[in-house]
Amino acid sequence: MNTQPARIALLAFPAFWILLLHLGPMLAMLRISFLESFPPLPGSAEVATLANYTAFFANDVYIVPMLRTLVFSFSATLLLLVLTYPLAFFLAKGVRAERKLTYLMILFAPFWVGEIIRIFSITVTFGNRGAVNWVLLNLGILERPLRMLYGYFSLSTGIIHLSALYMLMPIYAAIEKIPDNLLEAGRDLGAGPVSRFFDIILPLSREGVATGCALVFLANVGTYSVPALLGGPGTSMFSETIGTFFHTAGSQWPVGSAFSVLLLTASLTIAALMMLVIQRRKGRAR
Amino acid sequence: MISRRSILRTAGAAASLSLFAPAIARAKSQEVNIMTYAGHVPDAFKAKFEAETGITLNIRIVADQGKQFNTMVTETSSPVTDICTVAAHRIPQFRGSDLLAPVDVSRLPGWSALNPIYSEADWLKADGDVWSVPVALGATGLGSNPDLVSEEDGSSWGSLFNEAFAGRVSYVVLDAISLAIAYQGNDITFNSYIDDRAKAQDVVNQARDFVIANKGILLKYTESSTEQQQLFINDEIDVGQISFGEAARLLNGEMPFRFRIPKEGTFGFVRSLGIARHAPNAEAAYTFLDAFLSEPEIGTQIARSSGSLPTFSGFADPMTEAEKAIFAFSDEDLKRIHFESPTASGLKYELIDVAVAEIKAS
Repeated sequence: MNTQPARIALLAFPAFWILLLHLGPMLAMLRISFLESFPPLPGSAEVATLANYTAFFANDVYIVPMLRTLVFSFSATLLLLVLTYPLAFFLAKGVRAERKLTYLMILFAPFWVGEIIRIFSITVTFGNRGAVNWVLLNLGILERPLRMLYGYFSLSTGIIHLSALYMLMPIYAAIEKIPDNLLEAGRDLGAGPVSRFFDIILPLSREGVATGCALVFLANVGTYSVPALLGGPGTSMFSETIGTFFHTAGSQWPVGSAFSVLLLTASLTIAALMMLVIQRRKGRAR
Repeated sequence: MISRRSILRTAGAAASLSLFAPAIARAKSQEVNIMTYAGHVPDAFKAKFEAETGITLNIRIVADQGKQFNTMVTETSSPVTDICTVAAHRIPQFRGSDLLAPVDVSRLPGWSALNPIYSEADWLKADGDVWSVPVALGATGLGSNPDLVSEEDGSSWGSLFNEAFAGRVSYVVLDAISLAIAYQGNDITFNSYIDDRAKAQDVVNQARDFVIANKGILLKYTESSTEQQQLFINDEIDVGQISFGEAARLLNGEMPFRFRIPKEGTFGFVRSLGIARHAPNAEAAYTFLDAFLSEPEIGTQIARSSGSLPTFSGFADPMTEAEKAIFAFSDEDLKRIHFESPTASGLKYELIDVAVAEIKAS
């Protein structure tokens, strides 16, 4: 039986999805980044230029937030790794199989509501009139509300809250795949908990760590709503700068597109390097 | 029994419908797609209009002119919007981009309900046509907590840059440059700089550098006056820029709040309803505008629902004394409001838009 048509039909939708909805917008952005003006006004012709790219390098006012964004995203990724790894281990190896679904559902529950609502829940929790300040003031621990919003604390909290699952799930999946008898064999051969972790669990969950780190880093670099709603003037992320070029009613889209291309290139390079380093270590471990 | 095949068939049909739903929605003439600010088409009027005419009003709330302009430009190949809400000083920009159609006033018997100060204004007209229907007046002022901020500080833009209020100040970043320009004693309307681009650039640069230098005082850059309103309500700030519409809702006595037009002056604007050049439901749009202008007390409804000052004659007559007090501007206040210039605002915002990105990035 000729399965070729069925195969083509089966692959058509994913191909359409990837080409049109993922690559399409990126190619459109790349094209716009080389235009002198966009959106096009009636009667105007398209003129190609490199000026949108040179604008970035000509002014360190743009370079600094780009570097700040990359450093912050990298740090937030490492912090999230440290916070979620023990949780992933607990879920994979410390919870009885029949209870795992319940625990996962509890973790997933906040993700059933939209991102903006989850961000506002942080505002409601940490605001001057929020739950934390209400408790501290009523217990007499504070006389005036403690400012917790619009700085690195609220920004980090938002980032961690929103991207925790992207880190947790790949690590959980990797750890769960490690056979229990491998750990038992290690214990029988005299390996302590620390040795078992560094010699068995960590090397075998490295792929999950790499995937989680790459996912979280890329998501953090591009996030707009978290810094816009929870950040302050001292924590501006590059995505906010880019957003400004798209909000104005003028012809600034090409500049915003060029800056987006630069951010995408930088973040993909860093993510690829992260993966490469981990893959190499994996190769060496073999 | 429901077979797997029938489920798939139903799902396929539903998917096809959802793909074509926008086209179906556009094809209906019994609807008007409106982009406007919150409260500018009051809910009571909307319900009454829909019940009486059978025309559905699909209202998309907008928060600023830039996003609205960009939305309409990107929809050019497949227009959706019938009516947009244009600030008077942005009319030339919308016209220049072929987004607005002239308004046929002869089809709007209720036009006379508008205060002639607005309905006869020069900025509404160009090339012998009227380009929109003025609806409400907006002005940016200074909000403050009278328990913590003196009357003097609460009446000057200087408070936004005053170390004494560090961490308790915020403003809309797009407007901050205009406010700094006013505070530095320069022309907020840019009328003086129309023929001197270098001077205009210099004024914007001065204001931009001043805002950046005082960034440490600021709690947060915001995107809209509604966000400013929330920061006041949540007790996050003591001083902040806020538009009159949002301020009016805080002036009801439930929290300590003061609103002033600062002594250095401010900018004002008139929001107006324009018919989109390629409106898919132009006829229904005229039906809407006619009913809107003819509705008794529509001005009062707009004032109550949006907090803005309506452009309708006698809008305050049905109001209570307390409401009238909120909506009353003194002559001195009015003198300090400088309306954005349709001829100079293009230059002003071309320069300011870039400076805003630089401030945010700094």
